[in-house]
Amino acid sequence: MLAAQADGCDVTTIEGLAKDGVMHPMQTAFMENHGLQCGFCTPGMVMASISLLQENPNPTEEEVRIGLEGNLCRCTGYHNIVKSVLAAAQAK
Amino acid sequence: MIPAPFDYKRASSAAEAISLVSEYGEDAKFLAGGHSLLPLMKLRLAQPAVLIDIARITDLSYIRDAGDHIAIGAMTRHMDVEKSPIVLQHAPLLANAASHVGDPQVRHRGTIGGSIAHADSASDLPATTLAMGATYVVQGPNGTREIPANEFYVGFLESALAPDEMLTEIRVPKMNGATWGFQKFNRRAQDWAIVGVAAWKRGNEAGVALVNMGSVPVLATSVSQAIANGASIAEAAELAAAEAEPQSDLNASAEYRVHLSKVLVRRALESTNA
Repeated sequence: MLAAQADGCDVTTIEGLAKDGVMHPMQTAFMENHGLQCGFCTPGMVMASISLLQENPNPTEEEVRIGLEGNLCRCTGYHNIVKSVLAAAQAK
Repeated sequence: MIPAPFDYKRASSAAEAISLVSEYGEDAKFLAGGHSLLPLMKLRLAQPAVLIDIARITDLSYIRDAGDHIAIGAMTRHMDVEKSPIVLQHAPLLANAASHVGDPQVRHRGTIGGSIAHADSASDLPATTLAMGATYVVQGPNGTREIPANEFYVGFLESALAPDEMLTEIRVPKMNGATWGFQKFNRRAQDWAIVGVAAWKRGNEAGVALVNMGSVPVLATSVSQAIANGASIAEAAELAAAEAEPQSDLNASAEYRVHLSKVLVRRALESTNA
């Protein structure tokens, strides 16, 4: 989308997740489950995962995989990314 | 990847959007979810001088049960069509097709009206609404008119919309228990279909339309006719490409597309989803 279209809206990025130096539960889940390798796709994966759980708090593994479609991990580390999202859903 | 310079106007109502487009004429384009138009602009395949942003016209985002049909506002996001209880109950073929568009990011921004007005024969929703016998409501400076889906697609990325008209509502007949199938054949996740098929069947009645089988979405009337005349699904599916003029490209030859269309029409009609 065009930046002008977001005029007057709030935009949350990965930098806006931690509160007072405490990581968001999804960031913690990625850390604990080795959900990142090179880190390049991680901001997108984490933001998409949070959106996914907001819409579907208890997804199945398949729903997580479908829900993260469009985010490509060049390390092919999908297994632990999916594990991280499922762990974050459990931890809620 | 950088679009040509353009001016940006935001409309807060359909009337304001139409008044703006009347002012700027053919140099202006409506911007809805931006998932078809902006990529074209970045490739400089489209260079509108003025973009009229209609994304904040919230009263064009709705899904209503309107008796014999479902009325969907043009600015309704794909994700809302996919998850809507009304669409899932009365037009499940459309909900399923919407779930096949792009990826979740695309489906949260892209709109049903934008996809249809863009009139891309490779998109899923033009063919799906065509198969379902939908009617499109468009608004212009002199009021509204209805265009049947089978009169809307006139050429490559070209529709029956006049330059100063805006698509405002999509009316989809209720499926009333028809079985349906949506088949999308592609090589990579999230790609456009190499060939896609949207089909429904109720007794001897059937509606079938093809994705990416020519410059416009194709209504496979020979298949419906054959079913009406008592042909089996397998026999009818052999006629899948009778109305189509598929192109060859890097993904598939025209001959391969014809073959795929027959297989996918058979699978879509054999589906027992209801």
